[in-house]
This record gives sequence, C-alpha cells and structure tokens, in this order.
Amino acid sequence: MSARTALAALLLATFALGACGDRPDVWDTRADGVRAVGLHSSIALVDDAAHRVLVASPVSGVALARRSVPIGKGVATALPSADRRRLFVLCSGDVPRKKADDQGPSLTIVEDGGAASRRIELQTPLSGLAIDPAGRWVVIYPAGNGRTFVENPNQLVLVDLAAAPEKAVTFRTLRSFGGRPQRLTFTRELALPGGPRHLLVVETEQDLTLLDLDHVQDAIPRPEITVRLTNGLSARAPRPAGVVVDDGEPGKNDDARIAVQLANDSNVFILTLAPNPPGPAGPNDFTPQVNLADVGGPATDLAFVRTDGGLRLAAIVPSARKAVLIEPGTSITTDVPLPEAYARVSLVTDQVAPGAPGGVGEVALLYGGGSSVAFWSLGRTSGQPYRSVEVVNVAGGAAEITSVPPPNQALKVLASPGATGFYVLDLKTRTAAPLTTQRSARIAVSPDGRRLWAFAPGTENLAHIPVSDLAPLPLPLDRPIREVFDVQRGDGGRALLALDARGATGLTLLDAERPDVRAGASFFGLLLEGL
Amino acid sequence: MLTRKKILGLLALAAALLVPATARAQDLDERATISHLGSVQKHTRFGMGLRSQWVPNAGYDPFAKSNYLAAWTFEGSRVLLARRRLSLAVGALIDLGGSSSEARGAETHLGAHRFLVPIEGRYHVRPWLVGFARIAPGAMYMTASIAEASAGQKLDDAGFVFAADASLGAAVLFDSRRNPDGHPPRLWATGEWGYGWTASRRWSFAPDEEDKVTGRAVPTDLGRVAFRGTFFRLGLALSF
Amino acid sequence: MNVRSSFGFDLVVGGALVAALGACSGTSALADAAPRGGAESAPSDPTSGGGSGGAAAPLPPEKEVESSYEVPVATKTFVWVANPRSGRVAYVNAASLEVKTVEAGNGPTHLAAVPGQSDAAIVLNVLSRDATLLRAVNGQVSGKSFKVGAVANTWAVSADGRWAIAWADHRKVQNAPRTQGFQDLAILDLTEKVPPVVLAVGYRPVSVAFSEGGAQAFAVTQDGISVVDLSGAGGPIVAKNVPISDTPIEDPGSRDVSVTPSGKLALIRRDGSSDVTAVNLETSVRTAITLNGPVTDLDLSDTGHRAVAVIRDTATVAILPVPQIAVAPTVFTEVKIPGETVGSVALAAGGNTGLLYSNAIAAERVTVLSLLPTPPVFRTVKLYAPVLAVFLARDASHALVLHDKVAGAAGAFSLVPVASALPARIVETKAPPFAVAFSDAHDRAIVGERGATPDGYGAYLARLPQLTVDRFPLASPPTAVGLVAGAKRAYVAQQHPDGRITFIDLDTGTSRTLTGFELGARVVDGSKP
Repeated sequence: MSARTALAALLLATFALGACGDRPDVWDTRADGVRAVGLHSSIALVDDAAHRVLVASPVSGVALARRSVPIGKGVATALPSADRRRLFVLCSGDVPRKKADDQGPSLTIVEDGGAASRRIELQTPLSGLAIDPAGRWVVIYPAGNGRTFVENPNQLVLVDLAAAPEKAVTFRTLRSFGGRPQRLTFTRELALPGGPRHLLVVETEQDLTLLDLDHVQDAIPRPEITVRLTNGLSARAPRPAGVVVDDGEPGKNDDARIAVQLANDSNVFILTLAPNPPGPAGPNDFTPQVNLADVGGPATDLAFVRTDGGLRLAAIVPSARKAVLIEPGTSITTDVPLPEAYARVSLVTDQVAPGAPGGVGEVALLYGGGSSVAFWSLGRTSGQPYRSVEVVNVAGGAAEITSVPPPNQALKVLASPGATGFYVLDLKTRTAAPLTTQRSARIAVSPDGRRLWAFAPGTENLAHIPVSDLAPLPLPLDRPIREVFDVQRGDGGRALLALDARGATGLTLLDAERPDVRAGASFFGLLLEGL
Repeated sequence: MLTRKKILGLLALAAALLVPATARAQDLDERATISHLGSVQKHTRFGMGLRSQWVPNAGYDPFAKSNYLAAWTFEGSRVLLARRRLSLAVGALIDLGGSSSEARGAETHLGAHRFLVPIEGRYHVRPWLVGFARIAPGAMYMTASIAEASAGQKLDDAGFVFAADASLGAAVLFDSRRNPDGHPPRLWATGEWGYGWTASRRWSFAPDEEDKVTGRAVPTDLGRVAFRGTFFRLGLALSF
Repeated sequence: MNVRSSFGFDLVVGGALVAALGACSGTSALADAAPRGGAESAPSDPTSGGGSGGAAAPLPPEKEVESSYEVPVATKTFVWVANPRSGRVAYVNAASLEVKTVEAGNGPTHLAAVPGQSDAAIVLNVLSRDATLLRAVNGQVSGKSFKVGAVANTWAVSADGRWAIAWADHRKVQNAPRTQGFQDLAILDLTEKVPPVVLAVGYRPVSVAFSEGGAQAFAVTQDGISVVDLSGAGGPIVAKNVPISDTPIEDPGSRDVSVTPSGKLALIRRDGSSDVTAVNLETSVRTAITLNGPVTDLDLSDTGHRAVAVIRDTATVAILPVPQIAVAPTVFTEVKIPGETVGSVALAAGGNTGLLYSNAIAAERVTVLSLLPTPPVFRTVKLYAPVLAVFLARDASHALVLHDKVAGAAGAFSLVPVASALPARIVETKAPPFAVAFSDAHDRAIVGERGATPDGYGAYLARLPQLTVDRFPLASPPTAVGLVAGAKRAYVAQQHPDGRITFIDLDTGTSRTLTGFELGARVVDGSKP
C-alpha cells in the first residue's frame, strides 16, 4: 500500500469512527407533562419516556435526594397505595413485541423514597389498576386504552403482594352477561358465614360480581358470585353507580351487607351476605340475598348509619330533595326532607365525638348541592327517626369536601371548582370559616393535619394556612405551580414541594412547618438528571 | 458548526492536495536534499485546521446527538532543535469547538475550547514529507447552557479542566524547491490522529440570574463530563 | 267439609279480594247480590243483645267475609309465587330464604297447594291453558304439565292430592255476560293414571269440593249440585245433577250450600227462609227442616256430623245432627241465646265449639257455644268494638275477631280466649285488617293491615295464650299473610313490581324482607354449569 493510500485510509477510518455512536434516545424525548404522585416522604415523577420513576425525597433542611427507579416501557397508569408508602406503575411494554428482547408488560412497585422496587412480569398489556386499601391486593384489568387488538374486559389479573413472587399472580376471567367492569371496590374484612373474608366487588354496567379474595388462589378456585340487577323481562338495565359495605353487628356473621346505588333507577339494592341454604354445599360458603328499596329517585350517595332505631341505609336523593332511611331487613323507607338538593353524604360521627359511647348517635354531613352544607343528626325523637338537620350556609356550596387528618379531624375543607375561596368547617362547633382567594384556588391538606396549602394552579400564588388559627401566610414563588405536596422529611420534619411542570420539571422546596421562601431551595430540570 | 458534509469536503480537498504534492516533491528533491534540509526543517510554522473528536461520554449527550465534537484549530510552532532528519518543535495551539442540540426539548449549547502547548518531534522521511509525534498538554475551557423551561431562564455552567492530546501525524510540503537556506513561505498540509484527554468535571447548571430565583438555586446535576476520545485533525500550515 | 273454606287464593288476586272486601258492605262475599235476612228487629244498642221487635227496619244480611282472608299458597317449607309476565314461578324457602324460580307455562297465575305431598303446588297457566305441577324434593323442583283446555281461574284439590280441578268462578270475572256459563271443569289426575278431561256441569258453579276418599267431586251450581264420579273405569264423568230446590226459578244467589265430607248429603240455607233443605245426593230426595225463623247462617262441621243453624230473629241456634236430620227433620236441639243478637256462627275444627256473633249490627260481643255438653252451654264475651268477622284456631283455644267501623281508629282486632273464660284483648291497628292466619301449633296468629298510605302497611304477630302482639311495619302494601309450618315463620306477601315478601320468625320475632324474586333467583354462584 502506498503512503498516500495508507494516509487516506487512516483518515477515512478515523472519520467513520468519529461519526459512530449516537446518544441514548431518551434525550430526544420531551419531559413535559410528567405525572407526579405524592408519597409519604417523597414525590415520584413518572418519566415514561425515560422508562423510570424519579423519586425526590427531602432529606433535611432544603436538601433533596433524587433517585431513579427503572420501570417498564409504556406507562399505562401509576397510582399510590392508600398509605402512600408505595407507588404502583403499570406498564404495557413494547406493543407489539417483535423481537426476543422486546419488553413485556409489567407492574413495578416502588417503595417510598425509591430505595427499593419490585417488578412483576405480566402476560397481557392492560391499563386498569385497582389497589386494595389494606395493601394486600392489586387488581389489573383492561380499561380500554385500545393498545391491543382484542381485549376481554372481564379478564382480571390479581396480584397478591404478600405472596411469594412465583405465586403472586393469579389470572381470572369473570363470567359476564354482557357487562364490562366499570369500578372495583375492595371491602375490608367482613365476618361472613364461612369466616372472615375480603371481597372484591366488581360493578359492570348491569350487574355486580363478588369475588372471594381469600380463596382466589385455591387449587380449585371458588367461582365468583354474579348478582344480576335486572329480572330479564326488560331490555333496560339498571346501572350500578357505587357500593357501600357494612359488616353488621360485631359477633354476627350473617348480617354483612352491600348496598348498591343505581345511576338510572330509583331502586337501591341491598345484598345481605347470608349462609348458604341447607343442601349440597355450594362452591362459596355464603350467598347474597337480594332486597330492593325504592327511594323515589336515583340515589347519588349511600351510607350505612346507625340510628337509635338500629342500622339504616341512608340514600341521598337530590332529585326529590330528600334523604331516605332504609331499614335493610324490611326495606321500609323513611323520607327525610332536606332543605337543599344535597348530593353527597359523609359520616362524621367519629370526628365530631371521637370515642364517645354509643349514646351520641351518628352524625352525617350533607353537601354537594345548593349554597350550604347540613349536619344530619341521626337519633330518634318521638315520631321521627332522625333528630335534626341543621344547615350551615356557605356561599357557593361545597362540591368537594376534603378531610383534615388527625389531630384536627374535626375540620373539613369545603371547596367548589372555579370558586374563589373555600371554607374550613368545624364539625364540633359547626362553624364555617371562609377564606377568600383572588382567583380560583386548589387546597392541599397536610397529612399531619396541621396546615392547609392554597395555590392557584398555573400561577405563582401559594399560601400557607395553619389550621390552628387560619391565618394565611402568602408565599409567592417565582414559578408557576402545578401541584404541591406536603411530605415527611428525612430528619422528621416536613417539607413542601411545589411542582413546576414546565420543561424537564422543577420544584421549589420549603420547610412546611416554618415556611420561608428566603430559606427555600429551587430545583430545575429534574428530569435531565440521572439519565 | 462543522457538519459531516463540510468534513467530507475537507477530506476531498486533502486528497486533492495530495496529488499535486506528489508531483512537486520531485522538484524539491532537486533543490533540498535530505542531508540539507535547511528551512525545510528549521522554521516557524502557523497553521489552522479542523479537529474532529469522538467523545463517548454521557456528560456530552445533552449537547450533541452523536458523539462527534468538532473544533477549529489555530496553532503556531517553532523548531528549536534539529539534527539530521529529527527536529523538535514547540508551539501553542488553540482548539475552538462546540456543539448545539436539544436535551428533552430544551435547547443546549456547548463550547469546548482547548489551550495546548504542543511539543512535537518531527522526522523528515523526505524533504517534503515529515512524520511527527506530538504531546500537547494544556487546559480546556468548557462552557454550556441549557434553556430549561422550569427555570424560566438559561442554566449555565463553565469551567477549566486539564487537557492533553497525544497524536501522530504527517505533514506534506506542497512546494519544496525554495532555497533551503532562505525562509520563503512554504505551504504544508498536515494530518494527525491521536487521543484527546481531559480531566472529568461534574456538570452543575445553575440559573444565570440567581437573584430571580426563590431561595437557593440548587444546581442541576447532569453527571460528570470528560472530553476523552480519539481525534483526527486536518489542516494547512505556512512555514517561514 | 265446608265448601266455603275449600278454595285458596293466589297472591295475584289477593288485591282484587281486598278491593272486593272494601266494597262488600251489605253484600255477601258468596252470593250474587241479594242481601240475606227477612223481617227483623230494629237495629239495637250495639252493646246489648237485640231481640225480636216490632215494625223496625229489617237488619241487613250478615256479611260472609271470612273466605276473603284465605291464606296464599304455602306448603310445608316453601312459599310459591307466580309471575304471569315471566312465565316462572318463584319458590322461596321460608327457612333459608333462598329464592329460586322454575319455568311454568305461559302466564302462570293461579296457584294452589297440593296436599298429601310435602312441598308441591300446581299453577294454572292462563295463556297456554295448561297447568304445571311443581314438586320440591331436596330443594330441587321438578315440573309436569297437564293440558287444561278450559277457561279457569280457581283450583280445587282433593285431600289426598290426587285430583285437581280447574274451574272458573264467575264472581272473579267482571261483567261476564249471562251467556257465559263457566260450566267447564278441567279434571286432572296428578298421578297420571287418567288423562285430563273437561266436563260440563251446571251453570256458573260457585264451589267445587271432593268427598272423603276422593271418589266423587261436587260442583255447586245454579242448576243444582253436579256430582262427578272420579272412580269410573272410563275416567271422570258427571254422574248426575241433583236439584236442590223445589222451585228451580228461585234466585240461586240467595242459596248457601254445604256438602258433607262423605258426599252423601247437602244442606241448603236460603236467605229469608226458615227452612234448611237436606238433599240426599245419592237418592236426590229433599227434606225440609223447618226452624223457628229465617236462618241467617248455617255452618257444617268439618267432620260432617253436625250442622249449626242460626236464627237471628229469635236469637236461637239449632244444632242439627248429620246425617240423621235428613231422615228425622224435626229431631234437633235448639239453644236460645237470650239478650244477644246472633246471626252468624263460626265452628271450630271438630265441630264442638262455635262462636256466635252478628255483623249486621254493631254488636260488640261474641258468644262462645260449647256443643259437647248436653245441653250445650254458652257464654258471652264482651268486646269493645263491633264485630266484623271471627276466626277460630283449629283447636278452638282462641279466636281472632276483626272489628268494623272502629270509632276513632282505622281498625282493630281482638284476641279472644275461647277455651278459658278470660277477657279478650283488643288491639288497635293503623289500617283496616284484611287477612288472618293461625299457626298449626295454635300458638301464633298473623294479621295483615292495609291502608292508603305507607303508615298503614303492616302486620301483627300475636302470641297465644299470652295475647301479646308485635307490629311489623312493611315497605309495601300487603296482599296476603300466612304461615309456613316447616320453617316456623309467618310471611306477608306485598305488592311490588319485582315481588316482595317479609318473613317473620315465630320464635324470635325477627323479620327479613326479600324483594325481587326473579332477581334473587338470578344470582349465579357457579354451582351450576
């Protein structure tokens, strides 16, 4: 080879080498619009493009530890556990899978703080996720995101978080009479004829399915129980719109009940979970007995309440401006006229008189209609199965109610979307303290129950409101706020993280207990880190 | 910014230049000989060129879609010692390089500038053909910015790190018939291949205008960067 | 046997009966229109007995309302409910409250229990004109169809459960033209030894019953008593028609016919007549038994050995020995009840005790007549509201009296100790009571009340002999009450589009309501493929 040839070859080879090596594709993805989930002592930023969760944990002062936790591709949904100690991220993987190394669907469980995670491989990409408040079960189901050509909407994947990995996943296809699951509800432990049980209640558009979670992994699985809500004589199908569950009296195992409200019918279904009839043993050791009560209009909310006359099911019927008390055993109804068309009910007995002996009677808070909320005392006076309905006027009403955790559990925050201002309702004194805002604001309640945070999404406005004196402290930031999170700090204190979702996401970190913007810290481009 | 098209053009030029150099070399042989190189060997030389380096470092990823980093080179050197075919030259070299890209939707800009002192040992294979080995210690100044939306302003970082190049190359004299005892200007084409090295540095991007930031601005940590990798350089020089 | 108590009403017609009861003041539930009673004494003080008087306005006839309170279809363990719309019959296990349904024919409507078998019922499918026999064995129900062919709305079932006769009671059909005679009886052999057959009997039968042993059936019609021979080799056949009156053109609606269990004798009472006619159904010989005044009520004991006739005008009770009275019409015992107005009698099972009362006037007393001693003895029990109807427990230990026109209250009933001379206990109700049933153990009674508003929907469970009463409010208007012996529960059927029954435990008094029979039966637990 001549010198010229050798030199030309060397130059070309070097050029070729220099042109090789592209950077990872993640840098070409955008990071805006990230999903943020607040956990107990951190926040998790679900970075789908980078197939990771960035967990940011305040450590001490205004120091923020960041940790990347790998997850699968194609995040379908990410939800925290009820106690906010874990984040569940459901991923669909590579769709379609063409090569051997393409990723399959998975569920990643990220611990609070991001120090540990666990991944469970799945077979089918599904997008619906329901989490057991007790922390034992996760149910994955098709929520119709259209990523697969064919889906069976009644196919469930049950993940037992307490089981060994090889036994954690159970596949189940529910029998269907044409319905698709719309809502999944986990019951707490119920005393049933066959022993204590946890049930999964699956509502479709037309019926209800009860699945015994404690026997779903039996060698011969127990079939689910389907309660059809139509008598088959009409094409019109009552549509379930929510369930409430009551375990009945302590010491009895045949009076657990499930009440079902319907979106398009004035009946309320009450299922009593009774012992099986004598005869050949069925596959399940309990059977639901069906009862109906007509409440005069579609019920928008239900609650089991204990009155001086015994257990009742309270149904709220705003179309008739009334509540109806239903005696579950006999379906006898008692109308309670209401001053406004409230749509929601919330039992607040424990907050009003925690630990009080049974003589107080249940107290319920009615809201979600008109320009007031009402306290409904459920006792018995002569001729009336309830004691009183006391109205507290709040301008604009209360479409949403947020509970304040202990030690201030007697407080509720009332707000309406789009309203400029909110109320802090004291359940004990029955006072409603208004707090006005210059523009519509969202309220975040600290998990330790000691303060509120008010912010206007998309603006720099932030205020700290201690519940002890409701004296707002304005804390204007220098960046638009999308959400705020009040989390536990590593040194035992608490930190406020105000999320700026622009670009690669930023945060402003303040001390939550003694907030001072001068002593805070600002973080930028968090999703550029750790790649 | 140097694109691949431009580099290809330069290569073509270099190749084109090589052809006539071969023809002229015969004229030089008639004037200067290997035993009497004269100013063909001992001279002061100024040159410019294009440096292309491959930087397979994660710290560089936000600033370029590929691992390629280009820089314009400006250098000067003088032969201090010469004995027979060998000579030793010392000089100064500046590489002005940079790149721009996007990182997750944010515009990024990088300036990577080397300031080196090349120490070059030369060997005249022919009067018109010199091979050399070079070591060039020095420093690199890197400056970068990210137009990150969550900051509302640019995030900047800059700093010096120790840098050094080690390379092998060759220079070809286009015109060698000039009087070797004089110092007529002579045109050289140079090419070298080597390895560039810098110390690593942790990126730490902070807002340009910190007074507009709430509280303390915590730098964005994009990890460590080190501009290390194979490079080649092509250039032209004029010696006197 | 007393034909007046031999038919059962299904839940669907329960409401119609309630309506009929509400309109039946002044008319008999059995007769067409003519009131009973002839010239009688003036209406007297309701607290005192009425005796014969002068030219006072005649008293209205006694109201025969006890049959309106017949219990719906319950067998030993199950309560059966037909749903004509769905073509299914729901059967509720009263012990476990499990609800299941079974397919019947098209339009299953009229149900009857089949005695002699543990849990069996038969339902008339009005649209497909057939019947389905339903038998529950070990909780599973099987069905068997029988062609009926005839228009029918009522059942009569023999005591041994072999024969079931479907016939049409014209009184349940509104505005039936005279040309509709409802003369067809569909006779079904439930053992299937004989194929179903339709026979024609006299015009517009008012009752159908069987003789002891089931060899014969009797249809009381306006043309007389049609005797159906069930034992013939060729199958059932109308053996003969026995006229029961010397004057065939007399108004048949004013007749009250009782046939003895042996099927050999019929006793006929006519409104305003002092004669009771005894008709030998074998020989067709009629014998007139003349009493001392117009007979206002005649009751035949279930054993068939005694009949009691009440002559209101003379406050006299005639005790007729059966069948001897047919051959010795003047040999009978008369008991005068001085100081009382008695126009009706209710005999207890066995025929040894009867309660005498009158609902033609506002009489607030009943008279207990003990027929065993010779002569019979009686005592009067004071009540505190006018008597409407009387129901005796089968062992005659107690009676339940429904009151009418209760001043200041919507309704009331009284529990009357019959076997012992203890005072009665009155219970005020929130609405007029409309249905009564006693338990087989004679220790419980259930009373249904039905008003116009939900406050008036309720049932009362009475404990005997304690005479304590508990009220159970209901969510829907009740339509029928009954007791299920095998489950020791009382039930109250209610009006609801999806079906509703409340069960009350006789021991604990706890109640549980089931609503939606079709829904309850459509719970799928995976036990069946």
